[in-house]
Amino acid sequence: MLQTASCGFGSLALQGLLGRKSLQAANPVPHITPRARRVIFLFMSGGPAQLDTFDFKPQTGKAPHAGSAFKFQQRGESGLWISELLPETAKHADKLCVLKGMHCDTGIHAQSALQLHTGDRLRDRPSLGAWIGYGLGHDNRDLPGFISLNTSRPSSYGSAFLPANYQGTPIGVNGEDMSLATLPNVTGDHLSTKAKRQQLDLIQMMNRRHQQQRPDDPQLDAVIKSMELGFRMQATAPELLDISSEPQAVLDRYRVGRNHLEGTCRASDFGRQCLLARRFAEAGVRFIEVNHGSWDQHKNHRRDLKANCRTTDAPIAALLEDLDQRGLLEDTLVVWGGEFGRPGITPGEKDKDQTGHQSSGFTFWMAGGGVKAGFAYGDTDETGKRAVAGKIHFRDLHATILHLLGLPANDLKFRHAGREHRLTGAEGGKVAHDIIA
Amino acid sequence: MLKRISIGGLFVLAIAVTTNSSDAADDPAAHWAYQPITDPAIPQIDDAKSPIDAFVLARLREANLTHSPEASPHTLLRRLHLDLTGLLPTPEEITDFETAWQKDSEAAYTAKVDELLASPHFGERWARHWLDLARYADSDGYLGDDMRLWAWIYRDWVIDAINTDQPFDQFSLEQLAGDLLPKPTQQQIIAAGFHRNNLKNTEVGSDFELDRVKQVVDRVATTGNAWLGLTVACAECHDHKHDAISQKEFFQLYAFFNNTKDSDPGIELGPDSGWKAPVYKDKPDAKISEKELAKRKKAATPKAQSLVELSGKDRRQSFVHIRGDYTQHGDAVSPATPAALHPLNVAKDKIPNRLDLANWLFDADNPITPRVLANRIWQRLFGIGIVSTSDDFGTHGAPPSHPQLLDWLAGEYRRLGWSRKQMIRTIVLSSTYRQSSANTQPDLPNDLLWRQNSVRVSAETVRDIHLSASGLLSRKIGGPGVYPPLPEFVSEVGRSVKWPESKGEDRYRRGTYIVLKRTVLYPMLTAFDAPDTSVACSRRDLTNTPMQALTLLNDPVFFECAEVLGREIHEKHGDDIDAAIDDLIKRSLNRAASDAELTALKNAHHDFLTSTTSADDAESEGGITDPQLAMIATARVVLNLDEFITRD
Repeated sequence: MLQTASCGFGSLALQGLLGRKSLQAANPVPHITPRARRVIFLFMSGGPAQLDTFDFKPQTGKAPHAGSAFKFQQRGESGLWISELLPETAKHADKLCVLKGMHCDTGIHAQSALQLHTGDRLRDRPSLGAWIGYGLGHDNRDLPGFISLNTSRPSSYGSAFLPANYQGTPIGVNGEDMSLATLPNVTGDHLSTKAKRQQLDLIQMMNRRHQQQRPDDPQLDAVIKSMELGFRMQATAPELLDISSEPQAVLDRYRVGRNHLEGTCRASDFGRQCLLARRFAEAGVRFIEVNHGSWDQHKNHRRDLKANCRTTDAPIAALLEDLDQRGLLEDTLVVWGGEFGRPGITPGEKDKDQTGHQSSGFTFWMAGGGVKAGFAYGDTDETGKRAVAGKIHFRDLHATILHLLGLPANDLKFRHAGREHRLTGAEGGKVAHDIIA
Repeated sequence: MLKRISIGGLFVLAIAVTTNSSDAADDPAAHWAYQPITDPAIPQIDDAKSPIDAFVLARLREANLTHSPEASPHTLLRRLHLDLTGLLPTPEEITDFETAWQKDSEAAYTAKVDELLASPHFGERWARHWLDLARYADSDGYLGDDMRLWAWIYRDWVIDAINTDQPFDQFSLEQLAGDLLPKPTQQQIIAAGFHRNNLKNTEVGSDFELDRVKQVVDRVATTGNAWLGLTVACAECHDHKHDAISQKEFFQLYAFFNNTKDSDPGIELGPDSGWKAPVYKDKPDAKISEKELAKRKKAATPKAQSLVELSGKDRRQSFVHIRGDYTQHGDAVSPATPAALHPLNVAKDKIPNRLDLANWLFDADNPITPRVLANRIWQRLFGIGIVSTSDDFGTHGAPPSHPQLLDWLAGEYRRLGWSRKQMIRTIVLSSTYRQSSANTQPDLPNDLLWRQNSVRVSAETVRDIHLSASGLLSRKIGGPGVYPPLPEFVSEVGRSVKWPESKGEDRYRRGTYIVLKRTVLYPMLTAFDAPDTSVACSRRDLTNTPMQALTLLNDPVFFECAEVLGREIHEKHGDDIDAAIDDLIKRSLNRAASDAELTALKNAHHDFLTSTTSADDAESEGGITDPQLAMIATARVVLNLDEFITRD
């Protein structure tokens, strides 16, 4: 047990799937060719209005119904419908795989956000990024495998009962100035780097001497390794977070430092987050979450939605462009979406300019990482009220993401408190094979 | 044969068989854990100091092995301190122990054991183990996560009960049914708060009956884990074939716990209860009305969160929940214990209650509870139990490595009148416990206990020994939880409260006293594998992550400890670097420095002295002179050593 728990860098899940004892005939690990090696999750907290972004629902001429309040246009060779609010993202229409049949269980923000992140609405469970780390192991020795930028609740990046090294590392918290954000405890300002290295070398030397008493002790070996990673993170992480070396043109493309503060749209320096996401992806971080909120525009729907779109549109376009140019989009799965969507503004109530929460149908999009490009999948009904075709529940989304990473979604399990747990829950998730290229 | 439950969504109680016994698989009654506890003959081994050693040596000899030599006196002293109190010995205690050891090593060791068992810090250390099982926390959990202002009164009750060595049967009885005792004392009412520690969903709009049912299920599960070593599992994800108590039997256990209500807002504790109000200050504000003042006084009166048994028409009929859905009633059930275990003896016309259940657990015929309890104590003293799965004596559990020893310990615990202290004393006095942990044969597993195990200390202990070595530790016992500074990266502290950072001495209280707010668990504790408090935890996982390394390297609390330690050492020893380093090692690793260490650390100190004279470093330390800074850097090395956070 201790050996398994202290295996710092390898894949615990693989050992789990193979059975604890190597002598036992193991459940064979289903062989799934991975299409993606990493995930960038653009979490749009608050519930983005799909009817005014990607799910075009014009009035159909029959009785007036809720529908899109902004203009739409077909974009790219694929002809995907994209709202006028997202002109920059629209330029990358042919990279997107728009999922219009998303649905989930509740219209309560916190519960649904938790379900999106962990599969469970109520209790703290391991988050998607932690499950992925557990399933695939970490392959970067200088950085954590899971980083959450501008994060909110610890439960959204927690490892719960999974080993603690799969926990996400938060950088910056919702609402703070992201240009000041850093990794916890990564900088001790107490000593120069040289002195720190001297300290660490001495610590490691003395640890090894202690290890001579316990030769081949896997635990101590792992301690030495993780101290080394911790130390290296002190050097690599601040460097990665320091974007001052980026050309001004890049900073401009990402709109670093620019927020459109109006109504519910909060400062998140979303451009900086997207640029950091690219840098972390390049450095080999497995799961990167980027956050912007809040899309919860109840009153002043139009004004606040515009502000949220203006803040996020160009940075996302820049991220897609850079990933593509650097050949990273091929094996990086970008996922965009919120904890639910919103109903349209009901005709006759147009002056109210109000929307609410809608869990019965909303839109996500994906790009790269083995999904079809320039592709729309699923649909809501005529009024955009509920998903009617190509339905994807959060657990199906989870299954699909795991599958794209080469993980057997419903067999990735961990035993805790007397039973086996999995991200896709009791019901299991269905992989949306139709969206895979 | 008991019926196996395989319908999805059912709750099943998994008691049953070892995976390596096909006979037992056919007949759960044949499972080792349900056989009566034997009274095994103690093997005749000449050099065995105690029955424990005889059982262990007998097995070792069969494998042509023997005990490792006794650990050094310094290792033994540190081991005893960490295991029994979770704190480090002071340099004075080390010197005294050295002197006594030279005079009579056996007497010195025994006296130290007795001294530590009598220490009030013993209760703090061993309460933490029990609080893991009690899924203790200071808030409700879920999204609302409201604070439980008086939860600490139960925590203090546990510390006190352990310090006064309340016999474990009484300790159990009061926690499972203290409220049902005739004329219960305030302490017994507080104890019955054991089953108030579970999660509770107070979110507006949630299904309160569903949550109540979940709480009752958790109470059954926790009771099963803590006293029966059984796993109550939701079968919905279960595809393992195993024998089980029937669904009906699960709900018969459920029925014991289904007729209580929460004592909200809590049972007020009288002035002579000894519990002091932590928040209310008797300093009336001129602007406050009499009525408001009375309200505040009442709010500030300590209260026990406890259970109240329902009576008369309030009582609920329990049913089997079809497919685990509480709205789908199956057969009506009454409280009863599983048929696979010893019978519950109550008068024929009496419906058994929680008190009967608690008494049943300590019935002389109960084969499992004494084994579970003895095994858990063993686990705390060896890092791993004789049954390594201390929370699962059933299907998926491991078989005991030393079945006869386990039975002897189980019997001995009972013979000792369920005295926890006597049981621990018996074990730590054995040669088996006192062995060196040096792994001289790396390929040889330690199932047979040819050595002690080296174990990384628990999360709270990581904190406590930093504070202990630096001298910053507050030795205050009990009282409301404390809020040490939260790292800057944690801002979301739930909706209900802020994190009112503690001041003065409270910043340096032991880890056990850190407020456990379920949605914002103290990150340092979580990084070092403290449980998440959602379910009973019998054994903590041990992980090892770079975040732990970074926490040790740079966490402000740990840096402050190194700073204080380094400065004190520098002030005490000045330019006598040999003495300074020796003192440093003694205070943290509790032994003398080896020549090699002395040389290495002296060289390092010299290097730090040169490297820290650069202007920016000196400035960043604000006024600390260079030799001080170099000693702080040296202290930091020592506090970051794996040996420091390892109990060898």
